Amino acid sequence: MPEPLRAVLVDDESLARERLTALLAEVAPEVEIAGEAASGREAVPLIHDRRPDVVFLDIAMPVLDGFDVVDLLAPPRPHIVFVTAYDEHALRAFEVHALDYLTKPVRAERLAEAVRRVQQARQGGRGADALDSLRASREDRPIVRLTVRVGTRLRVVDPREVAVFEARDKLVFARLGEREHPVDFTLDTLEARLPSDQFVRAHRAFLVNVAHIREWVPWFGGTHHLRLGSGVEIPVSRRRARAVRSVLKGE
Amino acid sequence: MLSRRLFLPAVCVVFIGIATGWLVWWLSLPEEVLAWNAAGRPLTGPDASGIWRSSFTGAAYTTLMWTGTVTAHRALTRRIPLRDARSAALHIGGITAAAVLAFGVVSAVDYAICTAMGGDPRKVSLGVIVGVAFGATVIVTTALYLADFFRRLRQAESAAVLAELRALRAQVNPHFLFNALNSVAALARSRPREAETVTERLADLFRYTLRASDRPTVPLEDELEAIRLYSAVEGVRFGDRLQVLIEVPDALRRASVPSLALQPLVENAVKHGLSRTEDACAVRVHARTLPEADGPLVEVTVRDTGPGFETTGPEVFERGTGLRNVRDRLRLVFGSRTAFEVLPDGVRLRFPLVPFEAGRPVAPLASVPASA
Repeated sequence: MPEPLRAVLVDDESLARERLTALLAEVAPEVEIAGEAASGREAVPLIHDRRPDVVFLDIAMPVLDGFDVVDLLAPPRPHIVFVTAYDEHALRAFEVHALDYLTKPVRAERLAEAVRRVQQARQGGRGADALDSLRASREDRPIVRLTVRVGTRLRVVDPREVAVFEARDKLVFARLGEREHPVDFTLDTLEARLPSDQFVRAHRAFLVNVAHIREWVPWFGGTHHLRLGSGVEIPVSRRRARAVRSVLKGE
Repeated sequence: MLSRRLFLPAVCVVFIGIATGWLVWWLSLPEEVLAWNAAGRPLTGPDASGIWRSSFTGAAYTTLMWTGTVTAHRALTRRIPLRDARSAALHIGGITAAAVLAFGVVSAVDYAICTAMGGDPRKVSLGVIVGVAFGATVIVTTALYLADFFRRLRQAESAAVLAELRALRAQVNPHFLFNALNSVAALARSRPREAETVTERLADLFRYTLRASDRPTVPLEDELEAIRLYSAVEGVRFGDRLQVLIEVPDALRRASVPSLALQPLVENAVKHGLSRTEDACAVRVHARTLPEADGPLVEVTVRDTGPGFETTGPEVFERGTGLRNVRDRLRLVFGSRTAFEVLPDGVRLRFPLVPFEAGRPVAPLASVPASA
């Protein structure tokens, strides 16, 4: 009997999850279904919470697709087996990064083989090199959603909801309404991957959401502050003042 | 045997011949006869019998030369395709030879008859008759070649339009197919009856797609049925998340639409509506008649409650081939009186209202203007 394997299934179609469950029970009884998610948004916190050994991840899902989910997974990352019906871009990515994948309709033999490869990778102690290579190739892509930590759990949020990102104590916090939550991205990464007309770096330690700025407040010594919708005020560094003003004017 | 296409030219040629004969006879009358004629005297003279001879000769020359030319043209067209300068030279040479041969034959017969009847063959002014006969030959030949040329041009044009239509035909979306098959595989275990239904609908949809590939237009109701089949198959995958509503007046159900013009629009709406939101998405297909001065138009809108297009500019057509294909097919089938607009939440198309008749394409395929 092979070692037990905990799996999470991610697909927006319940029939697709149903079929995977049935096939796994047949060809790989050592696999235990640790959870199911019907969207990328549900999948990220679920994977963080359940810590499965393997995730069967559909590519074509609304809002957050399979690749976006991978972008948001914090280490230690589980082994990922991608599932897709037909998507040339995805298939190319799988080949380029030597990723495990299944095509729909999923066949029993192929599924059994995928599970075998996961077992081998685990026993060989091989890390997720392929996944790192995929993540690296997507580093210059805009961020659609990001994850914030709420206690020990993860929450997926739309960056537009974040009023300001602040770097503090070697951590980055996202301000959502009255609360602040740690984020797994650096401020530099966020500045690079969020739309530059929506987020402006007002200060070495602050990345501000333009839509949340209410007031431009003169401060001592020729410096300025920005007052946000929530009443929070953040400083604008002298050398960034000009850039902030031009973004506020919509230039 | 004269074909219907040659009958009218043949009659014309005979009449041209007779008229030429009369003209020649009249011109050959002595001056005093013409003067009398002008003074109101009856048109009878010493050579009155000449009118019959003249007419007969004229008709004989033109008819025989015309027949020779047409026969030569047919034979040449069948054997030597008109492709280059060499084949053109062969055609011209062949037809000239036929015309000269026919001319020789008629002259010989005319001479023989005239001599046998004791007349003087030189009495009729052959010069004019021969001139007219050759002139008619040149005109007929030119007309024949021009007709050929235009017929081929038309064939080439409609062949090109058909080929273009075929190339623009909405292709089966592989993503849709493989997902549907995955659903069927899943249902086959748990709910075999449902698997059966989905399989049947999928088969019906593909049968329609294949059949529609051979015709430029279909009645609107066929296209609506394809939309229903498509939605039913997708409904299995998406459940309550997808809703498709069809609002089309009965009067429009027999209107012509380009085949597979509307189903891809619904597919597009479903694809984009459902892929950009995790919520439910409703697609609404609406059709109505617009009374217009130069014939009524059909207006079809396909809207969805998804997030909508990011832009309604022409760049929408550059992104996916689906919308562009439908727009181009609409233009190819209906010509210029069409419109394809991108709305914030869908698309709207307009095209002339032409009742569907099996086997009869609408303009410009039929090269007649579309009328109501």
